[in-house]
Amino acid sequence: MAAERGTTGRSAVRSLRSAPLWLIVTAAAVAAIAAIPLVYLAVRASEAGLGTLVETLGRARVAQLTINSLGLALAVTASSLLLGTAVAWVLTRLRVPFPRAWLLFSALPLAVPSYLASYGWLVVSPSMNGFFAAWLLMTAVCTPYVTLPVAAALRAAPTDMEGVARTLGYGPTRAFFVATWPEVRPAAAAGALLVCLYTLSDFGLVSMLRFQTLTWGINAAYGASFDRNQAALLALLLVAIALVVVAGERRSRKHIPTVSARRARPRQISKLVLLGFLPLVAASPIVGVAIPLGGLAARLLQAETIREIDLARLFAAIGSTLGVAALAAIVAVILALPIAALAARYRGTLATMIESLGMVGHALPGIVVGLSLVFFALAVVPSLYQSVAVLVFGYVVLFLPKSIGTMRAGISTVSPRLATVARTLGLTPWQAWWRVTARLALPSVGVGAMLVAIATMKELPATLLLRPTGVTTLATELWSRTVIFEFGAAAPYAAALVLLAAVPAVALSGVRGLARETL
Amino acid sequence: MSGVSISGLHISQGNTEVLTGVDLEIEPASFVAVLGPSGCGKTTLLLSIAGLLPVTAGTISVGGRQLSAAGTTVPPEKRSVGWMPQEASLFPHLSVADNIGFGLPGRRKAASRTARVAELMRLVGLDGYGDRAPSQLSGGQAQRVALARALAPKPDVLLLDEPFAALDTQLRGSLRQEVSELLGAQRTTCILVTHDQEEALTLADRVAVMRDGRIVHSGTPSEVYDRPSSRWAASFVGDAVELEGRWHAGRVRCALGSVEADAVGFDPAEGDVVVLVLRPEWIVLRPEWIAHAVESADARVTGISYAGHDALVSCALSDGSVIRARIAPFELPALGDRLRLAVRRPGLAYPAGAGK
Amino acid sequence: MRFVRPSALVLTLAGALVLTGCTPAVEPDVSETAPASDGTFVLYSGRDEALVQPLIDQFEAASDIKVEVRYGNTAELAALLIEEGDATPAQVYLSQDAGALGALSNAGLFSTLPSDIADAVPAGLTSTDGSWVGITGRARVIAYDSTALDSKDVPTSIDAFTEPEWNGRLGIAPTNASFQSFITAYRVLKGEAAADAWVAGIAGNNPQIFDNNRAILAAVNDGVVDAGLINHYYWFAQAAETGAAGMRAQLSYPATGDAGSVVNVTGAGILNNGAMDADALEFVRYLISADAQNYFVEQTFEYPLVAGVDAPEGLPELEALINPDLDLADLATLAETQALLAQYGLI
Repeated sequence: MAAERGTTGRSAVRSLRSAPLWLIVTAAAVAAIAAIPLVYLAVRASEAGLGTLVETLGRARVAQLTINSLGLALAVTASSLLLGTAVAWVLTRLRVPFPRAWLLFSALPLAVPSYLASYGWLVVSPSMNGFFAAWLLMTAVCTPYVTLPVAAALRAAPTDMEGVARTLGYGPTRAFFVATWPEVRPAAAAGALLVCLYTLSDFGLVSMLRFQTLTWGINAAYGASFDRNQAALLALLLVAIALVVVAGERRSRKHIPTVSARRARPRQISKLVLLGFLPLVAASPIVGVAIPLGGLAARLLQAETIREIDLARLFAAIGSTLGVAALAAIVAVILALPIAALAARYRGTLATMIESLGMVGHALPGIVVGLSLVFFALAVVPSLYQSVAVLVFGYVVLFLPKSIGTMRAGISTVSPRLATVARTLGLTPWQAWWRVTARLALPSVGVGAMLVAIATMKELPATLLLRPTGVTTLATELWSRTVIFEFGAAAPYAAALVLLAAVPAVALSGVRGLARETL
Repeated sequence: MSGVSISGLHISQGNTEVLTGVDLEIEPASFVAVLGPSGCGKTTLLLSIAGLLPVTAGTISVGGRQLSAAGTTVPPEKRSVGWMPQEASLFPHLSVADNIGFGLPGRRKAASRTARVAELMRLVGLDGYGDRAPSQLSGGQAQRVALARALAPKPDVLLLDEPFAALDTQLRGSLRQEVSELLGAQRTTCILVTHDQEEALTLADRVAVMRDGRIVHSGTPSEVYDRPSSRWAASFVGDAVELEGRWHAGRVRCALGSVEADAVGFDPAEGDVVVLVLRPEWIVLRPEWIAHAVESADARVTGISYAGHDALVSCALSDGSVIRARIAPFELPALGDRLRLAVRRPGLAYPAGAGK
Repeated sequence: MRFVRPSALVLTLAGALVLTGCTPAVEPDVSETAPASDGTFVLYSGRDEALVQPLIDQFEAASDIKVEVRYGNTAELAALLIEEGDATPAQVYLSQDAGALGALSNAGLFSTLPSDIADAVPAGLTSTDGSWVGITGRARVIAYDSTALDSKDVPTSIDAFTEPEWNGRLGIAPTNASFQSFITAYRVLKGEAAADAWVAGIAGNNPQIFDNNRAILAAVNDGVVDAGLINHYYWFAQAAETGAAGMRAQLSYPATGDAGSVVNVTGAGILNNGAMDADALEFVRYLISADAQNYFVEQTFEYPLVAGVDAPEGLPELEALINPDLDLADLATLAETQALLAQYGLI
């Protein structure tokens, strides 16, 4: 979810007409670049012709993949919504010891990429596969997308209203649904749609668990066939579904104006009842984090695994993972800057359009970006094909929304009045911007870069398609070993990935940052 | 119309005891204000009467029916206790009419219901606002809707939790007046909690002053203001001037001279050090202009705070202590003027020393 | 503090990035006349890294030539080469099966190999026009779970797997080149209609889909599926590692002449832009050397194709497995096979 606009008041956001031309042009250019994968995919798919399109989409297999994708997405969304709301309710409305620790604990699955969770489970239970396994793990991994926003909404929702409803004759459950749920619903809906999007886009987990969804189909069609039209058309289909979901999510963000009131006071309950509720809270982190990491650790510490660790390869993978992550972070931050500045300070149809285009990566599954850029590089810039440039570009498109979101929030919290004050003290507009606005917004730039770097390290499907010859990342090494059931050989890469990406995500951004990153 | 009877009420939250033995009797159809500083437990008291908080010990009864006791709480929806919370807390997704009709039985469009809603809208002066969204209302209008919503099911008792705190001063005054007249006509038993003395004194038939989880003084507004039960209550319920002095035969000898005083809640011995408490409006400048001045002393004007409807004059007495007199804003003295002060009526004497 | 125009800063940074980022990771070498060596070349390998990287390491050590390898699925890399055309950075393509090689040959992407290489391998197991050369042979086999099935209950014809009794019990890897080549062979041997019927039957019998042969073998060994269609050497490699006695999965060979009894080859071809690359040539020549052939025999348990190198011990005679009606050079119609598989939703 995009970070909320800062509380800058009406005067802070001006009409786009007052924006400097260079800013509009730069931002528009970046937005256009970010739109390349989506646009080119459409172009490439249209080359196949209407006949092929209809024929491909009409195949039973395509229908099956689509049903699998949608079925899994809906099932995971429903279960995450239920579990996440229940967990959020327990953590905000009951007096739980160490509530912040519990919230962090329940957010942990966000730091672990889905394929890492499935890897950890496969280590424990290699024969695990199919819909049920995918549904279980995906739910565990996705539940925090609901838990965190709903917990925040529940905490902000005025309990007075529930009390009013009670005094007006409503029972506790009816009072919750009539008075509190409308306040929570937008957050729950936004979280649920993110879960849906995330599940639709997931490639690693469903592939490892051999549940064939559209992402798997795209990869198979791309990898196993000379006919690339099918991959392109499947990708287009997936994007279309994803865009519908994103549109739904956008709509759900339209918020009922909230009232300020006393915050919820957690209710005292007996230890026994609390013990009854804790399994609910712990379910997602245990299934999504504890068991997989436990499996990973057990496998890693086996003598055989340790003996076989190829340190040179491991360090090569770590090096290239960090390298591409750093490059992607720097490029993403630079490209995000004009869009973030424009979106934070100016309003208008064009500004909204530019921002939405910049955020398009939010809706694009990694495999789609990867596939589209393979086509694009081969057809348009063959000299860049299989270069780090295209790989990094793929990451930038995918994760630009993270840096735009953080930086826009960072810039908009800096009151323009401060820059005005600087002007009255004799600075030019540029000097004022550089010495006041830029300085104050700098931390958000750092956070934005870090979020992109972490996301890049965890990225799998686009990396598989776009990595240059000889470049392997931790994610691809883990994946290529896991799909041939070599769990021991995969363990060091999984462990390195946890240390490099998951742990910093938790340590550096904390609960709220973690939520903001992924939402 | 039911009275409320609260006895020995204790409420703990976590490890802290918020209410430490509250006793309060409220006559049917009366209007009681619970006045106390923030954190004294007055909102907790209100929530427990509404049934939104369980009690640790003691009982709450309404109209003779016991609603709360340790371990048993009649749920809020079965108590017939209306609640108007601090912020209006209107349901943002419902229109004004639907908010008001929220607690009424029957379907949304039922005739009995729409009639009652219309009646209440007229009552609170919001005729024609039925279709508005809460976000389109001003603060005062929102409070009226909240009041109408609470009154709609004709509760036995209406609880008002600082309902005017969020409003600006002028609106607060006029709305307070309106609500007081409106509720008077309804003859509903009302309990208002507030930290605003003026609100409590103007609205209520009886005022209960609360401190640290218990009621420290309860009486009519004038009893509470004119003869507070403690030094603390005196300074909390209104502006207080304090002078230390010695007790001599029903008078306190202090920098103001020998001032006649009532000893409140204790029986001082001759020569005991006591604290004389006066209200600023009990002090008179230039007593020669007044027929029966009690006693007078020399003073010098050190500050004048002019407030339009009256003025507060600070005067230094011969021993250096400074007292404030509230006077009508006519023929104000100038800074540095020397004049005489006198006290209009007997003061109040409280034990000196530790604690107020 | 000195005043820096942020736009200038941004532009400089962006420029620097574009410059560094845009340099292609691999520079295609351009040679003018006779095959020349620059000490490096790019290999696209459709064979598993675990299977060939040790050999490449051997080659690098022996020749002092650096090999840049891109590993991928055989079909994926073939499709990539077709899409890349002459812009490809690759000089050599190492394939897991004959079909992909034939397809690339038909697309005109290969340069002709010198005759000393092309003729080293017997006809039927290599190209007819010298565009690619066979390197090792592998038999298609049925791996079965010996705790669930008795050896005599394992079908001798793969046609049996379309029967209802095999519903949900068979593991296949339809995205894998060996499987696709086997389907092509089926088409060549028994005709399009029969092949269509077989694929339809399998697809309708709820097969368990895996990414590759190794995964199938692991699944059979773990009892996830009762049987799977794989290449023979995966089993021998694992048996060598864990001991044949510990193998729950066992192999069964379809009857000679059955469409499932096919010997496929791995092979290599030099792409057009490698024609003048002495390093590429040296590598392909190395692959059919006694050293490399022995490596495949000893390390990957495949059949050597060059005279004078003995097959691994414990394997059936290659001649007994070869389907006399099949010339591997006829397996080039991979695209049609893929269309067939796609039609029934297996890829």
